[in-house]
Amino acid sequence: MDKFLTFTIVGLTLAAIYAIIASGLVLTYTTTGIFNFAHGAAGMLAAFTYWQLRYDWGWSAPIALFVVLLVLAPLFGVLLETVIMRGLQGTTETVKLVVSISLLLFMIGLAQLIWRPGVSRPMPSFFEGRTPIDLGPTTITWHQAITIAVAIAVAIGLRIFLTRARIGIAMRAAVDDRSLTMLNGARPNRVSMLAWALGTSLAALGGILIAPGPGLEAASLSLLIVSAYAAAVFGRLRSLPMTFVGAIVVGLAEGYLAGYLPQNQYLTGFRIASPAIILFIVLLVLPNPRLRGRMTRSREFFPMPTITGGLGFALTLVVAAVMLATTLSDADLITYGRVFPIGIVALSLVPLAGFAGQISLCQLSFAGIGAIVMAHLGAGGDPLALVWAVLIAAAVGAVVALPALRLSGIYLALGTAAFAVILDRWVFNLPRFEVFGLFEVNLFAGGSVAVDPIRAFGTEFDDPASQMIIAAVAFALVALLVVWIRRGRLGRRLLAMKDSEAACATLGLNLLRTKLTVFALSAGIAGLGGALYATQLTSVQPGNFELVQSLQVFALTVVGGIGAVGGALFAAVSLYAFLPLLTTLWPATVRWVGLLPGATGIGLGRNPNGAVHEIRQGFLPLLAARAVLTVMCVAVTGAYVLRLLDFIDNWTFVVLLIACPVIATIAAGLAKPRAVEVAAGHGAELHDVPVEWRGIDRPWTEADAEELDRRLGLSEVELRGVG
Amino acid sequence: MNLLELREIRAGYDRIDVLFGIDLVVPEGSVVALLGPNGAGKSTTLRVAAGLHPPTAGDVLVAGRRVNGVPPEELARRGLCLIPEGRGIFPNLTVRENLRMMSYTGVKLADIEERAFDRFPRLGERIVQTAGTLSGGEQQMLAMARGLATDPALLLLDELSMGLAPIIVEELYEIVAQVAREGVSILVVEQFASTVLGVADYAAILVHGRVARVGRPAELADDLSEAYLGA
Ligand SMILES: Nc1ncnc2c1ncn2[C@@H]1O[C@H](COP(=O)(O)OP(=O)(O)OP(=O)(O)O)[C@@H](O)[C@H]1O
Ligand SMILES: [Mg+2]
Repeated sequence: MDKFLTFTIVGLTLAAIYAIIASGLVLTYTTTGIFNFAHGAAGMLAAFTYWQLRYDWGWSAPIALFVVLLVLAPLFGVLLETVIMRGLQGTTETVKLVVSISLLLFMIGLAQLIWRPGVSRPMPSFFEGRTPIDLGPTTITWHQAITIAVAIAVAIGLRIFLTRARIGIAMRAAVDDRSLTMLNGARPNRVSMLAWALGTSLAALGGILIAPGPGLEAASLSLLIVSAYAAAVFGRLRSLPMTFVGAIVVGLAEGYLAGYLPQNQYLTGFRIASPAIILFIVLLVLPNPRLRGRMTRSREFFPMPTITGGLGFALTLVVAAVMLATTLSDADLITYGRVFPIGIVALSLVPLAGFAGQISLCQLSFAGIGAIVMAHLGAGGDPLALVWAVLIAAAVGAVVALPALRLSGIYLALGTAAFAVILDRWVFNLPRFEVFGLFEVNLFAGGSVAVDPIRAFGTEFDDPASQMIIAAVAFALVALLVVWIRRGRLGRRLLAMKDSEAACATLGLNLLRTKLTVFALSAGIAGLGGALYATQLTSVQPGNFELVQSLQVFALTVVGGIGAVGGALFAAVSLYAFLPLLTTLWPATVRWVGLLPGATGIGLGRNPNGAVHEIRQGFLPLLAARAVLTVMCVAVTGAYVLRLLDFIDNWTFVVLLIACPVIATIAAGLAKPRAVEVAAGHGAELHDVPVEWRGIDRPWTEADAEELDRRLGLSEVELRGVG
Repeated sequence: MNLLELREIRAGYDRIDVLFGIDLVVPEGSVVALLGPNGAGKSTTLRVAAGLHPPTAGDVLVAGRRVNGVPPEELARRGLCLIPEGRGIFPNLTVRENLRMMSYTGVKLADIEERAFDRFPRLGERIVQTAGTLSGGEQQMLAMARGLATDPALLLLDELSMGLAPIIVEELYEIVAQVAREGVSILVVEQFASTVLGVADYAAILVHGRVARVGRPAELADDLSEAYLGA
């Protein structure tokens, strides 16, 4: 009984913290429609700041609390709203998600930049020394009592504010109809600013209250708040009372898990992952939230790739990989070689998130499964293990797709993120176990596993150079597969499903099968990437396949352009070539680069088609100017030969490699008059306006009428006859 | 003086052009009806006039002053009131909270409530009811009450009749006529042409984003069927 009460109090304390954090999240989501993935990170930053003021600089607690909660946090919220969030109105859900995920990455980077990780920063709880209050059968610490009291005060305060204060009413009104609030003379920007100020303050309060438990560690503290997300989902991200109920359910569940879960090596990770498990269950159990929420019509337009374009892309990549593999040192190859396997993982997002609009934040987890399969079945170098990696990852992907069928948008993102946490905090950390005594499973052997190099055609591909070429060829093939899918029947179905699931269902498209297919396909591709990644790393551990990496890959692929294979390459190159290169060239930047992926993602917003689209536009004149293109190829080959003969060193070679296309593009631009003629001659058909936009994007012509008839299978004669 | 004047207004959504040069005036103290088939751009015209939708060309003048780019909340504070298509209410707020939202225009809540409940006693009995649970007619009354409570100089009404029984529509237009007699200038969009023509001083017919005809209601009766039937 005492034990039960003790853990009830533990649970209620957690519940109080989750309620505080979740109510801030709900407030910002409802008033501005942006689900702030970085909400927990704001709490994390606040906890660090409080520690800085209170314990490093020795300020008194009331002053430190006042400064953090009532000055810095609201200011930070207002800053977020005016600088970042306001620009996101009218963008797609994916763009909003990427911006807030990037903000999360940025804030973690910022915390690690200011407060170097690995240093011990003890954060005592409030009134730590004081004797706990005696409640008869059990006791309650002052920190617990204060936490619960604060949560109750927040609940009452919010209730009064939202129903009595005019601006509070305006906040609720903005949820119903933002433009109508303007017609009433309310200033909606002020309402949003206040919502973000208040929301951030609540996150800060929660962060400071929760930090003494788990301790100050940027990434885990930001994600720990997953439980608060579960509470918010309970309230469908809208209802504050239900959010409080959700917080109590989640908090108590965690409290009792802590008290009654048997202590053994299998369940340690389970306890750490329990918030994610609860979030996952809440998402599945709640009545289908899919149909709720307004759809914003997106104007993303992903151009149809051509087969020749795809082949050219694939070939260029493989040639570039061969050139690098034969010139770079082994150490560099190990660093930069990761571009291709991670690129494959990023490619797996293109059909899933790009074509089908299914956001997934667990692609690195699928890659982890591929890596495990490679480590075990590929022992001795059996190349068939690659096939197994694809198949098993695909099977897991299909299993994940089953619950995911019920979810979409932000809920799907949360569900897949929870899945990633469950894998990387619990499943991947399991020690060896047996399944019903039939066979044993030994995922990462409770630590790390070694991966043997692939052996085929009598050779062992154990050098970084050949591994890089293998991965590049695999990347090129998968890219071609993705292009082929986009051009085929499946691609059309996926795009149609993204535009309107309801319409597709009424047209007789089997949504279940289509979704299962695309999830399995995507997980299979990610599994292949993971398997190749594993052979490059030679030894893998759960830390290689964490949620944070999935978030980075996702955010940067969207920045690159998630509807095209170029976007995947962009993500991999920026994360695994550009960033390491930067730190090699300027070692001083090493502490700053952590901010870059996040900063890039935050800068998105403007161009939903992605950076690659613009880069491609830039290169178009070059592709049209055949002569310049030939000269460029000759120049690159020449530089390569010079490098092989050791006439120039690596740096000169790389500089030449980058300079050639740039100079060629400029040259092609100068030779424009001719290039334009060429483009007009044969480009007209390639880059023409899609049929449904003719007469809107450009004037309607006789020829269009004929083509429309042709596409619709009507002949003019028949038309006349009917009319 | 003209309370509202639209000059050569062009507007559109994304890639679609909707209005192709609208000229329209609402003289002070008069009721102007804007009629036309579905999709003609009537609602868009009102949204442009209220500052909710930026025109791509042309001028919007309120009381003789050019107000292009003035945010809608400023126009509302200066006495322009749009009751949008559908129900212009906040369904998750109570009746009183809905009225309270109007106090951003600078009118005291007590005055707003007094005027609203004078005109619509039925609302007075339901002040703590959630607006979304009111009947369709009551919701439209609330929308009008909210609009009228601030004593606007210019009222823009978009399809008051949407989804309502004819008898309630008659009732609502009686109130519109009464408001007009009090001197408020009104621009009203309506599908029930006969009802609204009884109230209006002038009428304009909008077809495909252009004003096809303007005149006294009696002169337009014939053109109307043409505009709707597209003959
Ligand atoms: N938010 C929007 N996005 C894109 N197009 C829109 C939007 N709102 C309206 N349109 C288009 O603009 C055109 C004019 O619409 P509007 O609502 O002004 O017509 P209306 O005359 O009020 O019609 P109704 O009598 O049906 O209310 C229509 O073709 C409509 O499809
Ligand atoms: Mg309309």
